[in-house]
Parts: sequence; C-alpha cells; structure tokens
Amino acid sequence: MTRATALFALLLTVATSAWAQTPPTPPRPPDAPQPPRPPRPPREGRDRDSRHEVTDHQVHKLAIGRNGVLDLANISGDVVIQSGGGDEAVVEVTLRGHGETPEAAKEQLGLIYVDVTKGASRAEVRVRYKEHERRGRRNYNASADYRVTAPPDTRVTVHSVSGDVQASRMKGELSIESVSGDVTIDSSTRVSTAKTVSGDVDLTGIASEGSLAASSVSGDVSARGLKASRLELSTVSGSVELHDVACDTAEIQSMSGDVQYIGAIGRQGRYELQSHSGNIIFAPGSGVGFDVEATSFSGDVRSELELKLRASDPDETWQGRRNRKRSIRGTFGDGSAVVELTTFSGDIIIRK
Amino acid sequence: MTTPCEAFSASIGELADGTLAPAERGRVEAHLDHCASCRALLADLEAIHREARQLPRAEPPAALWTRIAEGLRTQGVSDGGGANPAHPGNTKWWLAAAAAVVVLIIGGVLASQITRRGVTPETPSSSTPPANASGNADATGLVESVEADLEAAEKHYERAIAGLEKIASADERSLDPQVAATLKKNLEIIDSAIAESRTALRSEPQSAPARESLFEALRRKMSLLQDTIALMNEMRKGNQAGTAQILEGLQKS
Amino acid sequence: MGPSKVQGREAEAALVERCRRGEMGAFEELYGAYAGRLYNVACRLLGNPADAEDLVQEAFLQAHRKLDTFRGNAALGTWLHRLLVNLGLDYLRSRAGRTAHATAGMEDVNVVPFTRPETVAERIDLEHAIARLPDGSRAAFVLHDVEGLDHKEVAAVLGVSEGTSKSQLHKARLKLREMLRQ
Repeated sequence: MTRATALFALLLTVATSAWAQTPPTPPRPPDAPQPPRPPRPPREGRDRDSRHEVTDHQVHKLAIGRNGVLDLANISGDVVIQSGGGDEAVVEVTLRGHGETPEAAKEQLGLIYVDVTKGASRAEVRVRYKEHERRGRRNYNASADYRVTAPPDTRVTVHSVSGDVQASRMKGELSIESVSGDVTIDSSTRVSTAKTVSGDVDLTGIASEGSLAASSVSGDVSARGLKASRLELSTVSGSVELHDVACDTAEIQSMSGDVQYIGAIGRQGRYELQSHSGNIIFAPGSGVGFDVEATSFSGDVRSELELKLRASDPDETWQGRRNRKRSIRGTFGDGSAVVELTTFSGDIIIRK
Repeated sequence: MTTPCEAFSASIGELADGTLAPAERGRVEAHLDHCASCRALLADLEAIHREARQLPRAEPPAALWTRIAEGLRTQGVSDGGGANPAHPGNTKWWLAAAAAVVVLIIGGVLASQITRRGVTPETPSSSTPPANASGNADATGLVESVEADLEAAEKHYERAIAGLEKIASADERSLDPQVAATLKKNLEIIDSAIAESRTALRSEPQSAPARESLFEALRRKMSLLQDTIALMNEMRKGNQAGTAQILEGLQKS
Repeated sequence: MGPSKVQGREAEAALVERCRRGEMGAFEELYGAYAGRLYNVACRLLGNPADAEDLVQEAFLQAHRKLDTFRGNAALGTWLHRLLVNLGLDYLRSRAGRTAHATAGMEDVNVVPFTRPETVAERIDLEHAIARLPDGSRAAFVLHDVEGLDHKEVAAVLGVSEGTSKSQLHKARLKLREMLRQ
C-alpha cells in the first residue's frame, strides 16, 4: 500500500464507520495514580507472517555539510536518529521482507526500495513501494528500519506512517510526524514539531528557543525537562503531563485526559490549560505572580496557593457556603502572568 | 412470487383504515371468510392503528418557545412592544466571530478537499442557509446569532462528513484499521463532549463554561479532521503515483 | 388538519400575513397552534426529546424565513409538517452513519407468512417498534397512524404520490407487526 492510499483509506474508514456515541470516561480524582497503559497490539503489516525474514541492509553516506537538511520518509518501520560528527549524514536502512516461506519473504522484499535524492546541502531518503508490482495487491509484508547518524546541526524532518521515531542529541531543527507510533525525543535543542495520531509523544531534556508543537490523538504527551518560548500541546484521549517545564506561552489541551503543568512560568507569560472531562493540575513553582481564572462546569476548583480572590459572582465567594467551588478568579503575588484553567467536568487544583 | 394472501395484503391494510373502495371490499371480505391468517392480519393492523392513535402525547417544554423567540429576534421579528434584544456581552463577540470561522473553515476546507477529488458533498434539499455572521454589517444580528451559528456550524460539519462518506463509498479499499479505529474512537469522545456541553447549555443557557466548552469541542472536532486531511496531503506529496491511482479510482466510480 | 385555534384558510392566511409583517405575537399564535403536533412528530421521528426540540426550533425558524414562499395552496399545517419532516429526515441521514446500528438489519425484516394468527394488541410495545422502523416508513406511519393525517396530507408532507405514501405506510405496519410478534 502506498502511504497516500493508507491515509486516504484511513480517513474513509473514519468517515464510513458507525459513530456510536460512547459515554465519556468519568473523571479520575486528580491525585489518583495513572493506570498502566496497556501494551499496543502489534502493528498491521509488520509482525505477521514473520516466520521467514529476508533483509537488505543499505548504507547511504550523504555529504550535506554541517548545517544541511535531511528529509526522511518511511511507511512501516522504526526510525532512530542520533547526532554524530563530521559533515556527512549516514543513513542506514534495513529493508525487511516477511513471509511464510523464504521465497515469499524475498518476494516481499522485492516490493520495496530506497529512493535517495541528494543536493549540495540537502538530501531526501524515502522508502517506496514498487507500484507496478504491487498493483492489485492488498497486503504487503515489507518494512524498513532507519538508523541515522547526522551532524548535530542538521535540520531533520521525518514523516512516518507506521513505526516509532526516536531522536537524540540533535541541535538542528527537528520536525517529526508519525501516524501510528511513538515519537520520542531527548537531549535536543530545537524541536519544532512532534506529532503522532496513535502513539505517545515523549520529550526529555529539550531546551528549545523557539516554539514547540506536540500532539497526539489517542496517546499521551509527556515531558520532563522542557524549555521553549511557546508550547502548543494537545491530545484528544490521552493526557498531557509536564514536569520541570518552563515557557512564556503555553496552550495545552486534552479532551478526556488530564492536563498537568509542573514547572516555571514567566512574567508577562500566558498559560491556557484545558480539558473537557480530565483534571487540571497547575503547579507554578517559580514564585512568579499570576492572575488566574479557573473554571469547571461541574467539577471542583481549589487552590493550595493563597490567592487574593476577586468575587466573580456575589453568591460565589471563596469563603462561600461550601468549600467546593466551580470557579476561582484571583491573583497570586504581583499577578504578572495570565493563567486560564478550564475543564468541563474535571477538577482543577492549583498547587504550590 | 406472490402468494394469494400477499396479493390481499395491501387491500387488508386499506380495509383496516376504512379507505378500501366499496368495489374491492366484497372481494377482500370473501377472501377473509375462508382465510384465518388474513383475518389475523386484519385484526393486528386494526390493533396497531388503534394503539397508534392512543399513544401518549408529549407537551413541548415551555423553554422551547423562548429559544425560538430568541432565534426569531435574530431573524428580525419585532416584539411589538419594542423590547430590545438582550444587550450582548463582550465574550459573545468573539464567540460569534469564532463560530463564523468554524462555519467557513468547515464549509470551505472540507468542501474544497472533497471537490478536489471530483466528488461534491451532498447538499440536503432543505439545508440551513450559511450562518449570517460573516460579512454581515448588522452587529446586533451577528451577536444574537451565536447559537444559531453554532448549530449551523455543526450542520455544516455534518454535511461535510456526508460528503466524505460519499467519497468513502467510491473507494472500498479499507486499510490500516487500527489507526482508523483510533480516529473513530476519538471523534466519538469529542462527540460525547459536544453532546454533554449541549445538554449543559440546555439546562443552564447562560453558563459561559458550558458555552465555551461546546465551542471548544466543536473546534477540536474540526481541528482533528483538518489535521487528518493535512497529514493526508502531506503524505500524498511524497507519492504522486498513489494519488493518481486514487483519483483514477474515484473517476471510474 | 389544522387545530381549532386556526380555523379555515382565511384565518390561516390572515395569521400568515401578520407573521410576514414580523409580528412576534402572530408567530407565537402560530407556534401555539402547531408546536404540540410538530413536537410529537419530531419526538417519534428522531427518537429522543432533545433532538426533537432542536428540530422543532429549526423548523419554526425556517418556517419564518420561508413564509414568503408559503402560497396558501396547501394547508399551513401540511406546509409546516413538510418543513419539519424534511429537516428531520435530513438530520437522520446525516446521523445515519453514527447510528447505523440502530437500524441495522431492518431491511432484512421479512414479511413472513402469518403462521401465528394471534392478536398483538396485548403485547404491544409499539413505541419501541416505531423507533426501529426505517426512516421513510416511520415518517409515513407517524404522520398517518399516530397523528391522523390522511393519505393526501401524508403524501404532500413527504413530497411523494399518494400511492407511495400508502405503500410506505403498509410496509411500516407489516414491519411493526413483525417486530411486535417477535
């Protein structure tokens, strides 16, 4: 299958499917531990019929300079990127054909090939399926794994349909998009995009000066040690959990998962955290003052930080009849940053 | 193949209604005289007819007229007493504008995606006209039409989906079921959020959180679809041959 | 089929004229006269009160926008029912993908020979069975058997011939009978 066909079909399947309404997950108490994530089933087309495997290992040495651009595309298989020295990117591709018999596996292997286009400072490496041979064929059982070592300042773009993508210790701009698979990035400085549809996005030790957009549809977006001027993070059914985070602007959204921001905020910064049925935990530990508006339609809102409250509604003051509140408007310290926390049915906690 | 009883079936229905022509009546009654199963059919149809007329009737809720009256004011019906429509708050402004954007984006982006493939989304015969929020100089109408716009936005969205379904029927290749299932499940989650927000808004029409939640959920739904399409386009760039194949398939159908 | 509040074509025409002039009071009168019937049709057509409310609201708003196209050659009630049913069926079509399970297999309900000649009256769960009818024949059944419109009116509301309306109704009743016998 071509990537275009795969994605096209994916949309079609979505459009044609019966969209039964499912009740939303009831909100979990904000302090409850995360349930363990069930292991993802093996991906279609990669792990079946693998009694026999035939591989073809190729090494492409691409002299693109220290600040070159590397554009990678894969359909099925994992991609691992690491920084290396020199001014040459080394792209090792292992093509794999699987089948019930060695012949079948070999036939599968024959269906894919690596397409390399190289310029002075730019190279594109794509794994393609041979159209004329796969015509009429519905199933393929071939994949390709990438192992890339590139000069640290290389700008790397990855598009993957099915497979995990991992990048480590890169300094050039990184943009990674996968459809089905995890995106994992660590110890890198200029991450601009990390997106997947069904998979997790995991960021560790990222110190990006620019803005960073990370998203999943069904997976979690999590970060430990994350600095950026602007963060745009979203998921639909997963959660967003940020530890040791620092940024000037954050727009963070989940639909049914929790949103957690633990870290520093900046003066004049703006932070919008939002979930529909998940809880929101906001812990701005840096001592910077902020003005907060926290609203839940049916959940509770509480603050462990001492806020100077503005009564938004005469009947609803902080010292009101109940300790349970649906909304808080108040100021901490000098109120220099702006914080908006919104959930429909979850709880909101502002932590010390 | 038609059995003798099946041939009488429609006439027995009319007999149960009392609308059977007198000329026919004799013939049908003659058959009934010696056919127990057709007598049972007549008895059942009469019972169904009788029961149907006695089904309990529901009263529309009082709030329904209030909602309609609000909508009518938007459409320019005067109160007679010259009462002014509720003065718009500031937040309603951006909601109105945003709702208009939703309508435009949904209507535009998705429709263009669809027509690019040579398939036009089906337009229902009694469709709601496009929201009046865009380019409308009547500021009061604009603000007042927020709810109508949100509803219109959803309708446009549903129409766009109908268009996608049409494309779907044109291409039967069904691939990558896991990712498709993921998207489906997550669209359902958003649908639930939309439904919840709507219910909340119905019980507390003035609730800003409920209103914003509804709008946010609609926006997320749109954005998920847009992202999927953008991703699709992105991937298509990488493989012209595949695209050609898809288009070829569509034109054939 | 007009309820007692709006008697005759002349009274209807006068009311419509006042609505056209933008009198809220006139429209409220129109609403009062027809909302109950339309709401009941909407409830049974869509299967739930929340959607029914939305449908009635949309139908009245659309009626107001389209009043100029009401020519008076049909009864006002028929015209309003037609707006509502068209909108409702459109809505059901767009919802069809999502609720395909609700009507899945309905087309397979066969009108089997009547082997158990017993009356269904005492084991009627009619409301439930109506909800499981295919959209088109459900509309015909609700309008004719529940609401009491005659075939001519049903045909006008559905925009089909009287013959088609009759046959849809008959199909609906046979399917209901089949469901109720199960």
